[in-house]
Amino acid sequence: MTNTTAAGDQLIETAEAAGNRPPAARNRMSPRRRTALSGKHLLLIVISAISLFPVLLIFSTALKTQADVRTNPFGLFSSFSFENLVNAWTVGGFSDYLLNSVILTVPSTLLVVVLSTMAGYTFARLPFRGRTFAFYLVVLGLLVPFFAYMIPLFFQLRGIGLLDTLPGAILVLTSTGVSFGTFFMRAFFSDLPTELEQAARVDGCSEWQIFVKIMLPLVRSGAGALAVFTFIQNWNNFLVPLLYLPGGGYRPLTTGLYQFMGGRSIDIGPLAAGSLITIIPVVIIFILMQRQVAEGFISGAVKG
Amino acid sequence: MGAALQSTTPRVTRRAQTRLGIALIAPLMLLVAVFFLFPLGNAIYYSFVDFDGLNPTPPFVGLDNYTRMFADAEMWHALGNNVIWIVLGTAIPLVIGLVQALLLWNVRHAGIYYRLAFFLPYVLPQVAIGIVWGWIYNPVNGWVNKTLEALGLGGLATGWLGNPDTAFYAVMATAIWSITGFVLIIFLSALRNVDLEQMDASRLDGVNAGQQLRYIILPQIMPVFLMVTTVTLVGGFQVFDIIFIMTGGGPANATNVMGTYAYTSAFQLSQISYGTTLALLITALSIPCAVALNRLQRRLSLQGTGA
Amino acid sequence: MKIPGMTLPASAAALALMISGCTGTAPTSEGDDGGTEQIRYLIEQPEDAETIELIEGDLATFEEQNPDIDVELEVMPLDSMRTVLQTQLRSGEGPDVFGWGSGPGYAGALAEAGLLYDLTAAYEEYDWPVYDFAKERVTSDGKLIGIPGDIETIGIFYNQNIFDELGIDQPENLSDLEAAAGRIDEAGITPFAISDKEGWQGGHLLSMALSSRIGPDGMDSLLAGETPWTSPDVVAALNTWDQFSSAGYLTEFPTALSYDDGNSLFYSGEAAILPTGSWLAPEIQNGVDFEVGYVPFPAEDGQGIFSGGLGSGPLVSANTANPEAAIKFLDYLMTPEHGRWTIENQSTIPPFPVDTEGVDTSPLFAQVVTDAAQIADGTGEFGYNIDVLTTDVFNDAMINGIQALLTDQKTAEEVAQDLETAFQAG
Repeated sequence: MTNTTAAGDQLIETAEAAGNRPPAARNRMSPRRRTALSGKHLLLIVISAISLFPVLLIFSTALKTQADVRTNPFGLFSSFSFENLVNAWTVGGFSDYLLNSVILTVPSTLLVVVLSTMAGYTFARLPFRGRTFAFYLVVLGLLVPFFAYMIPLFFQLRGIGLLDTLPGAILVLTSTGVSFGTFFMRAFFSDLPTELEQAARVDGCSEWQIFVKIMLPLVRSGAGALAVFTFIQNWNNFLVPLLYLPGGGYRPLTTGLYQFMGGRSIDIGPLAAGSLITIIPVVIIFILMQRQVAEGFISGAVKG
Repeated sequence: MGAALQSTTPRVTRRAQTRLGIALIAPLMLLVAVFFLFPLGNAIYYSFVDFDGLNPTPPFVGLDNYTRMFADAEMWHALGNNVIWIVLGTAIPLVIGLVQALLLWNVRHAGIYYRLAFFLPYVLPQVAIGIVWGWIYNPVNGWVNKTLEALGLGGLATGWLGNPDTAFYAVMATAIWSITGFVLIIFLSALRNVDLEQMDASRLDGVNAGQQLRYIILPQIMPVFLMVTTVTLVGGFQVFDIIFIMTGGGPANATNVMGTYAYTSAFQLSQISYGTTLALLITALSIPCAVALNRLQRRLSLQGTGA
Repeated sequence: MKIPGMTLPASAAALALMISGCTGTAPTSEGDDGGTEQIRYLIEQPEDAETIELIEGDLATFEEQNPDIDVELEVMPLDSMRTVLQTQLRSGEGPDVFGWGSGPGYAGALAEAGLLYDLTAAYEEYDWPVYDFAKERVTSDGKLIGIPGDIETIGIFYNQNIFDELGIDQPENLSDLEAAAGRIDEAGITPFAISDKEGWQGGHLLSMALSSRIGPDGMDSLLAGETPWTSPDVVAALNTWDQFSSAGYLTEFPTALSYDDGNSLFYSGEAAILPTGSWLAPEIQNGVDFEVGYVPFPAEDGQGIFSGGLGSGPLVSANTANPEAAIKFLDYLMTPEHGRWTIENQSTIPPFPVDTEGVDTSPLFAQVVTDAAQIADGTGEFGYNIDVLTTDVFNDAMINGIQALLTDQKTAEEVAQDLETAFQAG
């Protein structure tokens, strides 16, 4: 766990700064090796083109004129216009969907980070009777797929009046993220030296003060990575709003987009624009905070 | 560690820690109980009754849902699809991701851009991915068929998502496209821990690249290899979004997996108990696999072989 | 991520605030002012924005007449409605009134799941003059569960210009149609514009071929369970399409083609025959610049009969908070004035008598109106559109079966067997 987290940190270092290179790269290059290297770059460029092509296709189709969408919907960048974006934003209702996505994602992300930090600290540093059992209950969530209980949860939420409400969906999103979050934050707190808290205790700090003043500042980077990771997960979540926000009043981008895609083929332009609106926040966060994203996802891998 | 702590910590401190600890996990435990443990218990209850979504006291039916499930040809078909998905959807990204990682390993310039490009598909929402790949597979003007025609392979063109022979693999290709970047990133991070002295020494000894991979690199990244396998494998049991979005399980059930079958049964055909039973089967199958692989991975990690 | 100065009481308070704050907003959005009652009206997404405007104008008329009721229109693509309507209705947060298919597989399935409001009393109170045959389709367990949908027929539209150019006459029987398809194919035009990506189109293909083959009595016997679905006639009807498919007379990848895409092949003249329902007549009339004929799918020995059916009609959710307002709204939809309005503006035929004197319609639609009148008064001979008369389990099998047939996954015999199994199970 801790090892992979550290690896995540390293991973995003720029290539120039990284020290650990396989032997070939450290030697002076012969002409033959140089040809091999440019061949390799060619291959890498081809693979990245395949990787990015669908994303480019979304941009291209979203930014076409409507007339062009009709005749040549998938030709790359054959015209330029904001018609589709305007259309999706106003008529298509994507401005509402975006707002709903924010209203769902931001509180659930905050809740995951806050609850996981508190619990992670407890499970790492505050021993008490029954703690291990509680930890197993929480970590069970990493093992049991959401599928197992999604159907009863629907009827349970209906029973307690939380179905098709924002608080209901926010709490479900939160609950799907806390198992991993707790696991993740616990690893950070476990790594901190015990001398720190002992010294603080000698200085007369209460347990609460040790947590808030000494420990919390030291796991900021971990909490940050968790926040970014959780944000992307919740932003992308499809099944939770599909099942628990069926009414349509609080539809976020993912299910809004799904609903839109069942519509007329003539609406490819606005559909592309809607897709663009949906992915843009993720793409921006991904590019700005690659380190946290990669760290979160790499550690997330442990949750199998 | 817990025992050591307790023996050296004064009782007052321990009591304070207990109080704070309980206060700090109380909200979490409440959430876990209400939104996870309780519905999970309910799922098991549902599988033994015939719940139609309305009746507050549904009739007890014993093992009926289970016997029906095991006699249901469509369940076996869906489960078979899950198995194919697990095997191919694990093996192919592992191979491609490893090759990409080895390619990128000693790339000095622009390495960061490649990594961004490869990883981006993994963070995109599945709905957007499903939509754009639906266009790429479009039988009339999609890029796949257009490319095939341009290459003189027009005979291979088909309605990728509408042809039951190809639909499942077409959706899987999309999923592989999306997950490979993730596998790559994990491998890249593992490769950083490979012992370079050993690599240098082996190269001087005249060991070729294939042998280096087989005897030096792979053993050292084995725990990570297993970790990634666990993730893609569990993902293979749970696959839902991308299939639901791209084909809804069709055409003619060709792309049905346990997840889509459970959803359709419960929420389109009102067979709520049966859908829940199907979902429990996925759970029952995926947990042991995940646990076994996790154990194996831990054991390898403990042996100090890297990662 | 910065969490400086966070204190437990503050965070707990923030949590509580967040939760209560949100719970507070949900109910207020429903009954914001006491004076007017709001009902949500969900319909399948129409073909174009103008139709939505038209309907909104109609709703405005209703709101003028009933100032205390506010109708909020929602539209959703049919495909999405199939996957989410039940979760919506079950949640209790769904629409109050919504348009959905009449018959056991649609309204009936919802009624069985307890999701529909019982309208028996409302029928008595308002004395809605619905045709008897249509009323039957919305009767479930002795209760009236909705307003029947518009009267529709299913048959084949053909491009008269292409037929004229190739010297083809209107097909008089099945072998004529097959010969015509052959000629069209030779001319490099796709004979049939078939789309089956969504799957429901398959039910129509079977309905038309089967209705013409065995007539209304044969259909009655099948639907009553007196004849098995494995009977040779069902297999033969399925085989008709299978043979057209093998001969290359259908669009290339029907199961990859959406309804819209299939139709546009007909509009553009790339395909010559479009087997679908009368609801498309107005759009065809507006969308093409060639002559279009509309005939029944032919029988082996004659012209065949149209399959008649009912489209989507308004139903009321069992969970509606405002049943009175919802019923008042239904009553508005049932007035003769409104019936005439739908014929004139939406080119659909309501399931109750409307005086069509002087109604201005296109020739193609006028023919549809005449056909429908015969269904209504029981004078004409009509087949059935199967999917509105069968259960959702059967329809699921039919959708999958015909997709499998068109893609050579199953033979006609196998599909027929699947249908019989599903019929017995449903």
